[in-house]
Order: sequence, then structure tokens, then C-alpha cells
Amino acid sequence: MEKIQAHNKALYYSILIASGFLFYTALGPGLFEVTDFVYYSSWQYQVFDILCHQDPVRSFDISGIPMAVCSRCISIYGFFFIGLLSLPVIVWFRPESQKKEMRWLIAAILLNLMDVFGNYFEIWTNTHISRLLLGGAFGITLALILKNEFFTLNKSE
Amino acid sequence: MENEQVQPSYWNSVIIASLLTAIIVTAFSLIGGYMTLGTEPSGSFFSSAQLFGTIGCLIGALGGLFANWHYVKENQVTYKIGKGALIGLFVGLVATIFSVIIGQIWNVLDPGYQQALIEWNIQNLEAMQMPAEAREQAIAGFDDPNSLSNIGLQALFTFIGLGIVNVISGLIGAKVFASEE
Repeated sequence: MEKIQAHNKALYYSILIASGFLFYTALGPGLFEVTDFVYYSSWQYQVFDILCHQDPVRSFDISGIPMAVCSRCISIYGFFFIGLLSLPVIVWFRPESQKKEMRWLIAAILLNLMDVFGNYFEIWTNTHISRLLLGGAFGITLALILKNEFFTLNKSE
Repeated sequence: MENEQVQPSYWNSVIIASLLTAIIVTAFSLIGGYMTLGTEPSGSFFSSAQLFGTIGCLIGALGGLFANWHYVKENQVTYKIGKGALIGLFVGLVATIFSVIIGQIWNVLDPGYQQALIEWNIQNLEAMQMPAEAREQAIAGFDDPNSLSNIGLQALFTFIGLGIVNVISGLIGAKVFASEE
């Protein structure tokens, strides 16, 4: 019989709530149907002011209002939150050590860096979808390397 | 598993990481600001000069990671990820304080910078295709950025962002650098 055992519960729930709040904030003022011309002075924009370039051209929008972060960042925050939520299920299917996840994380970081600099030096032009996919890969692998800190699969007789 | 003996203080690492984070994010903000001032207001919400910021995206989140790396490197210790998260939270808090202080020092060095940025933004709003009433409302929203309430509010928002992302990067830093696994 296999049973999932939880560890560091208080820390897990704290990080889950904090990352959920971060994702919710990053969705921006469009979530509240703020449609005026001063959306960029909203509190959501100010929270991410020094964390993201917030270029509306490189951001998804809700109700016509750009999110408070770019498409790569919203994907990182979103997939990190989803990854954390899914950890108990993921541990069930991938209970082994996290060396592979670490390699995936390094690969995701390198791919994102390549994409950013390739676009910056005009070698190619990235899109909403490419930024979403690469940011998502980074966010989910960040969550995955924490899995055995919060959950392990115990085999009992 | 965490070492049982009393571990050395992590404040040295927190302060170094916070100072670096504050200097980098403030420098990116100032360079972006001066590049914006060097352009003509076009009526766009986003100036092409701000594209510079795209390479600095999420750089403020690295403080927690750096502090954990530095703490482990200097003291050869292992500890649980909760301590890494705490180190990250302190980096977010102290980096916020340092960035406010650096911003105020910059206001002394270049007293006209904030005012020039406000005037640029007002000219930019005037160049936008928007109803006059909305434009007046937006311009009226440009309060004195150096008032205590505005500095406090901006510091609070900065701490919310920097605090949470550095807690996460602190967790990751502890997992990568301080774990016995």
C-alpha cells in the first residue's frame, strides 16, 4: 500500500497562498473590469513595477486591459502556482529523486535566456505563445524541484 | 537535515544580497527613466526606451537565491528550506528599504529627475487619443512622488512584490545550495 506523506505543511500552505496571491495580482486590474485610461497606476501594476518591464505589447489582456506582467512572467507565476497545487499528484507518479527535475530546471532557464537575448539582439522575434510556453516550463520546473520537501510516497506493508 | 549546532548569522548574506538587489533594480529603473526622458512623448503607454527593461525582467527575484548561495558558501552549512524562505523574506524587506534610500539619495543628486519624468508623462498623456476628462483625471493623479505618503505606499507595494518573489527564490536557493540531498 502506498501512501503520500506531507511534510512542512505550514510552509507549503503559506507558499501556496502567497504564490496564488502573486498570480491573482499579476492578472492585473482588468480582472476587476477597470477600463479607464489610468490602469497603469493601479496597485497591481505598482506591485510588479520593479519586477517586470510591463510592456502592454508583450502582455496578455483581460477585458482589454493588459495584465500587470508580461506573458512570460504571468506564465511563470501561473505554472508555479499550478505546479505547487499539483505536487501531491505529481509525487504519486514521480516519487523518485529530483536530479532529473534539476536538469529540466536548468534547461528551462537556458531556453528562456536564449529566447530573451535572441529576441533582444533581433536574431528572432518571440511571440506571446513562445513566451507563455517557455515561462510555463520554468514555473512548473521550479515547483517540481520542491516536491520532496513537501510530499513523499511511503510504501507500507 | 539541519545542522544541530548553532549556525552562524545569515544577516551578512542578507544585507549583501539586499544591497545588490536594490542597486540593480534602482539602476534599471533610473536608466529606463533617463532613456524615456531622451525620447519624444508619443502618446504611447510604453516608450521604446523601456524595451531596455525587458532584459532586466525578474532580476529583482534573484536576491533570495543569491543570499542563500552566499550564506552556504561562506559558512559551509546545510539547513531546511523554511530557513531559506525566511532569508528570502528578509532580503525582500531590506532590499525595499535600501531601494527607497537609494531613490532618495538620487533625488538629492539630481533634484530635477522626478519632476522631469512627471512633465514627460503629462506631455505623453496630452499626446494620447483619450477623452479630455480622462486626461485631466490622469494628470491630476500625478501626486508629489516625494511626499511621505507616496514614498510609504510605493515602499509597501515594492515589498509585496519583492517579498513574495524572494521568499520563493529563497526556498529554491536553500533547496539547491543548502540541501544535504
